[in-house]
Amino acid sequence: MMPKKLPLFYFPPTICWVDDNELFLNAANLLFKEDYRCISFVNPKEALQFLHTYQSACSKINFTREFIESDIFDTHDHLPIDINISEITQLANTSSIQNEIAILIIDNNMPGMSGIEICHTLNHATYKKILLTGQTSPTEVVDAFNQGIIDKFIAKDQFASDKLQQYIHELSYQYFCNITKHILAHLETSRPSVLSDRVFIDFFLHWCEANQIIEYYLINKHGSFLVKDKNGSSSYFIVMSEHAKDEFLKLNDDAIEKIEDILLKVAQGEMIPFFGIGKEHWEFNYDDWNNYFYPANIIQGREKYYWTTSNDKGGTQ
Amino acid sequence: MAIYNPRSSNSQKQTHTMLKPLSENLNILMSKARLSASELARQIGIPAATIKRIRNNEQANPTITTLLPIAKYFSISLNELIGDKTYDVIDKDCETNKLNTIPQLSWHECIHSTLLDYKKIPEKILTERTVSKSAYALKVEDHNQDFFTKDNILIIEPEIKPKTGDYVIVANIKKNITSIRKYLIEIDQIYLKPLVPGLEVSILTPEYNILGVIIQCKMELK
Repeated sequence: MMPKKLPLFYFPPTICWVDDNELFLNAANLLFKEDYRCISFVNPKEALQFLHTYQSACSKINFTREFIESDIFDTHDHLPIDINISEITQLANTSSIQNEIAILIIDNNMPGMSGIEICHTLNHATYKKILLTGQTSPTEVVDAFNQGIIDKFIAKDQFASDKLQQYIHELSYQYFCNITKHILAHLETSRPSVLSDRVFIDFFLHWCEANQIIEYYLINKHGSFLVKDKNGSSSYFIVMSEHAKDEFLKLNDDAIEKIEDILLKVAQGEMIPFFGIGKEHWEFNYDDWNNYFYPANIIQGREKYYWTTSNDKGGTQ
Repeated sequence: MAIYNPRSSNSQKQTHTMLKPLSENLNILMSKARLSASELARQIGIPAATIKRIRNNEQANPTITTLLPIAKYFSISLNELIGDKTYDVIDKDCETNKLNTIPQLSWHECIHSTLLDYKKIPEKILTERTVSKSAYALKVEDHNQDFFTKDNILIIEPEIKPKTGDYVIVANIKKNITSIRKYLIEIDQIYLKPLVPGLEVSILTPEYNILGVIIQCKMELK
């Protein structure tokens, strides 16, 4: 299924497994531990106790805040919002987020408490739920699926690890989309962004796969990301829409005499700027600008997007 | 004073009219100083886009935290920046002089001012005086001077020769300290008179190094 939105950050989350069959848990752990962090429970009551006290690390972070400095903040019918993108970027260096549970995989057939019963009590939870069922799915499983109590179910005795792998992949992606969709909606207040353009999403996800990128975190409102590969090394994926490019040129048209060469290359779509995380172009002297422009590639989506990659930390001077 | 109401197009118009002088004034100030939005942004730490929006009269309601650094940078009052009459003030002041930016050094840094990369000094001072590239500013730190007072900004020009009666910055090479002295020539002998009352007058010997002449003293009262 082709995703419609890109999450504003993604990293391999934790999967919580609950099954009274220890052998099954060991096998699952072996299969998935390379790509995900796994925690498992043999006893459903212990699992429930843990899940009831579990608090998502990401949900504690405020990515938006009420912008009380605004002059219209105190009117009844306006609520200005400030989005703090640097909070997202900082997640790249926050180790506690590795414990973020995105998926609960639970056996339906357990002594004392069925998987569906447990899922019912966890209905408020943001993580996705996969139910492992017997060969024929009883009506109650189908009902639970239709009511949104569980997100997927899979027959355990036909246990197909490929299928489970695919579901885990899909659901963890959806999980991060869900917890960041409100920020994306704010980012797209005045115009749609690259992050909801299917052409771009398709390109970006393929690019990540080809470069073994397993984590990404938004670094600016144009849709650029700090990315990390399997070995943990960081780099940047920089993107700028035609609109953002025009804005950049308009903003600097009064300095055309000093930086004509660079602005010309940007105007022709040959170069795009990246001054570093949290850095603005105007913080740098024109003499130093040459160090912050990169050869651009083009993607044609809803509009033209210019993209590049950089290993340079940028702005460290 | 007009009350800003985002829902009423009428009051929006009023706001724009009210701030029209602001965008005009800023345009004049910046073009006279030959500053681009990015350069001014860098100097005062306000986003370049905000400055550009004010220049284009698109920013309906800029805040004090934006306007104050702009007014301060151009050494005018807030009233002058947003007022109708600024044009004359700016025109008069800027017609003859181009504003120059020089770094503010510490009393210790100035001993080796020739070795410093001025671009990397964060503190900047504006002066309308024509100065050489090596000029810098110092801030008076103590009260014990009888002529200059605490927080006065002194503009120092290292590239002119002092004349008798000039105030100069002198480094005592042995002690590695700097101070302000009055430069006096009397019958082939040069004297350095301290400004702190009661201290002895010294004769200019190789022990002393004259770092520059004070060409301007800026005093902020408020």
